[in-house]
Amino acid sequence: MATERDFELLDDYLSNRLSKEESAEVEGKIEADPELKQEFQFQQSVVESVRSKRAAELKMLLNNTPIPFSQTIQAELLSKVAASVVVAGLAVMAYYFYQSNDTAEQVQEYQNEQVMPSPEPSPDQNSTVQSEENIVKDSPSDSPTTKTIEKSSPSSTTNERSEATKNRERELVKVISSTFVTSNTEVITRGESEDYTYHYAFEDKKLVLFGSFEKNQYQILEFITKDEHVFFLNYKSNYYLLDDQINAPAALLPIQDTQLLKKLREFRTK
Amino acid sequence: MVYRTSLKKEQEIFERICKGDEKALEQLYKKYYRMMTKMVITNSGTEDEARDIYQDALIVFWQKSTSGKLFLTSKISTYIYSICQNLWRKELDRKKRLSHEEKDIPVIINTDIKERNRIIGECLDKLDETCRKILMYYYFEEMSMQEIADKLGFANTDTTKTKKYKCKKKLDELVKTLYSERDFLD
Repeated sequence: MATERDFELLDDYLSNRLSKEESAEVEGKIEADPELKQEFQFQQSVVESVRSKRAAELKMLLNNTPIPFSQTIQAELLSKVAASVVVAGLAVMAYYFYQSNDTAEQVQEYQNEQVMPSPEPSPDQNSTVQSEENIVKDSPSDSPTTKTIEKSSPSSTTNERSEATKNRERELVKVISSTFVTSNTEVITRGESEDYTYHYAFEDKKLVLFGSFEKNQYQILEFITKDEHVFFLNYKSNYYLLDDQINAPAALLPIQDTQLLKKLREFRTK
Repeated sequence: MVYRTSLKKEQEIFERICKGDEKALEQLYKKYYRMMTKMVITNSGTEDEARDIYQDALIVFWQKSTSGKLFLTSKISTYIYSICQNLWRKELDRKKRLSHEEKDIPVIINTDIKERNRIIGECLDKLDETCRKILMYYYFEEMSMQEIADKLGFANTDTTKTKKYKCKKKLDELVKTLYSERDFLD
């Protein structure tokens, strides 16, 4: 029969208060005494249940502990979303910056093509002319002097585009899907003159280009709709709309409608 | 300087936990919540599983600290993190086993244990608050008689010892009235 001392030993054993040697001794006793073993199993169940109850209580305590938002997964997700938004924002900004640069470059290029640097720039124009020379290094060395009208700033160039031009460009987006023909239109280049440095005109159904086109490749794109023939000039990275009704030299103005440009570029890369 | 302050704070919180200060446990829980749950979530766990594992790990840490078995040789977070990793590894193994042929056996055993815990837990609830605390501190936190006396405001360890003896006896009687000894032996 289990004594009071045995109960104490069992309790100490179950509450981990015995040394290894003492524990081994108790284990030996338990194995040798079926009655003690029975009591041990009962006590073990009770102690384990008390532990389990306490663990559940602590878990409840933790579950009821409010987590600061900064420590939550949502905060992490939010910070990731915020980071993505910032990145996306930067990307959008970069895109628009690039786009505006692209447009500015187009206008700049247009300007450069018109604003041919004078062979001997004045000292105060050095830096500007230097950069312009770099851009238009393909231009003939005997480029004529700059025309005041052609020095218009990108904004003034943009302003020159009338509402009708803008509308026309927008309309022409659908033309790109029309029948395309390899243009048989004869092209004549006349180089630059004092008055015409970057101009075009149609003379007897021939396209006349005024400017330094000889050294650079250009391409005429011709689309046929049921009502009209539409001509585009592709020169360097710019596209120009050519009106075949123009019979007096007119300035070549780069297309600025992004949709139309996109279509033309897609068409060319097909 | 900042590092020393941080170490001092960590030592302070560990000492409080060793004494069974539940507020310190709550502080710790909040402090490392994101770090610990992230480990589980990034290892194919859900947020609920992550919370569960972290809470279990913290309870292991608490139990070892209050029982005086833990001598910290690393940062608290490092220790808890390693418990989280072990517990999550075990949980993943268990899930893996469940998806194979051993499906039924552990469920039966778990149900038996759960039922036993539930019934004994009910008996424990029938005891007064002091008795419940004495037994929990003694068996779960494994506090010494002196620590329990300090925590519950008893005059000395003899008082604690007597009280503990009476509380345990009462609990045994309650359990035995609900169950025949045979139920536990089957």
